[in-house]
Amino acid sequence: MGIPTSQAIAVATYILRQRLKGRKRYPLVLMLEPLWRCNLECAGCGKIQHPEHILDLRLSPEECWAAAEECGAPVVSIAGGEPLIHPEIDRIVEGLVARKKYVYLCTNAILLERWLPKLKPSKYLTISVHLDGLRELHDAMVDRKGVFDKAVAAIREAKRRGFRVSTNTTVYADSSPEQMRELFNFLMDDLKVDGMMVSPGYDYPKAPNQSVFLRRPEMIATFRKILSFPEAKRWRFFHTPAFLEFLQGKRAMQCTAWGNPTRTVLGWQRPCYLIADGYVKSFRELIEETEWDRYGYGRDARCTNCMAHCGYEATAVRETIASPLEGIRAAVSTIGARESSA
Amino acid sequence: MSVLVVAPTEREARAIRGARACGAGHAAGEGLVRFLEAERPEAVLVAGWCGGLDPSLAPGDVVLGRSVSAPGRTELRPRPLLLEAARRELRRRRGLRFVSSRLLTVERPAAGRSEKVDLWNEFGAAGVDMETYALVEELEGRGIPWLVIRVVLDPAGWELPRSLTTWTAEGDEREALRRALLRPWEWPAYARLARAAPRAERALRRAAAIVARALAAAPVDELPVVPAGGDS
Repeated sequence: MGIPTSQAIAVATYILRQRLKGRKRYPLVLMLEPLWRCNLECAGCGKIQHPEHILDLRLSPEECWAAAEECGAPVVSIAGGEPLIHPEIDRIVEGLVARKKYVYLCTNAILLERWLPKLKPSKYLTISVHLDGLRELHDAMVDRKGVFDKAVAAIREAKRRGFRVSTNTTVYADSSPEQMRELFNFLMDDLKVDGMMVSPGYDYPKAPNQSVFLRRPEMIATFRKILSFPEAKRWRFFHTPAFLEFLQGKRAMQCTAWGNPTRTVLGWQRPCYLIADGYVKSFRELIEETEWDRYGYGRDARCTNCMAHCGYEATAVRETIASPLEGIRAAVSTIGARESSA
Repeated sequence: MSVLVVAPTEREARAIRGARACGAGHAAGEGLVRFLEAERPEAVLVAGWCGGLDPSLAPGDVVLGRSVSAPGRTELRPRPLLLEAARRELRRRRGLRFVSSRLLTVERPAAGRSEKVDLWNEFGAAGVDMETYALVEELEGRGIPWLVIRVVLDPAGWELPRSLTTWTAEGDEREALRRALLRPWEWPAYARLARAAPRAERALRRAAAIVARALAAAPVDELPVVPAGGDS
């Protein structure tokens, strides 16, 4: 686990505070989607198949800050769509950082170099670049040549300017363990990113190419291979050891859908980041009126092939905090993680 | 409609008002047939304990069977209107934790943590037992509407005592106990089960009564028959 020590402490303190208050359900990461429009159409994406008038909608910076305050999660992941298309993304980020939220700005990096002068490096801000493989695989997955090279150049520039940079990799049927190994080695050794996130692709029914998705047993087999390479020990993932064990099928977990509530241009999305069974106006309504026990592996057919971090990392974090042994394991793996920016 | 409630063991049946003990493991199917022929019920509720596979479930949590699986067999599902009626009734009661999920039937007790993790990964079932599939297969064959509730006794994170792993029928209990007496290192695991049992028993009693009432109130003629087959 390579997340900054200050973030780990902030999250642990937040969870303990929630428990002391007797709260049964509390968010860990706000998934903020200030728009759904994107400048790519990736093979495995099911987020952008909305009518044009919905793709034109945007959350204002004030709405984004209000969502962060209403929900109270210590971490905010800005996703989409492509957040860097939003004309006020710098203001949105600045306002969230001012509220001491740990912000992950998720991007395909096509526009990143243009935005870097307007963003300020901070220990609260991590730029999280989407990279599904090395040049050939990544460009195939995003269905456009040259995106990999653009992303790599932007990562180098962001690092040069002192930003904390991580990557987010989705593993699909076309991603062989060997290709993932080459990618992770490149990210750690060449680009020297601060950390990496990895997750199997979710089988969105609306995704343009349904053949890219792995089924659950295949996901487990693939992650076992990826994480058994000798170099895996030095790869710095922004995940708990418990989540990585879960991906390898060594640990049973149920999804914690309420751990990562999602605020979109249509409201709070019920029940999770990946499934949209409707939208509600307030975070309170989302938490109190959603029938949470109806969702999860074994309970809803749409969850069968989901092992995504937006559902299971929250479970892993809660288990890590609840168990002293898990806590020590996570702390040990955090040591060495670099606080790359002030 | 008239409802027959069956539970595998005498102990489980004693916890539920009006329930019949049909037998555990392989014996359950034959026991059920005897009751079906004697009582001619219009619907059947299968109730009992189970081992937890869904790691979010604790002792005493109720699993309402959304579907029933067994290795290599076609998944069986109850009629949706019945399931929905039972779900609605269970939701209305406070203090009863339940999920509507898949149940798995295996031939031997799933005792070890790693075995439970493997079953969870493969089947995504909330609970595991040794009778449900054979029972509902018999009921499907006869066109009798059914529902299943199982209450978690040993959750996913617990190891069952090794001496219980050869348990396949109620008559084996005495033998298992005899062996347990010779294995003091297993006593803490037995003590943990003994502590969990009253909670599981209370939940079973309550949940069975609620679901049996929901089943009895359902208009049998209006229930559509759903062909067997698995989703996910």
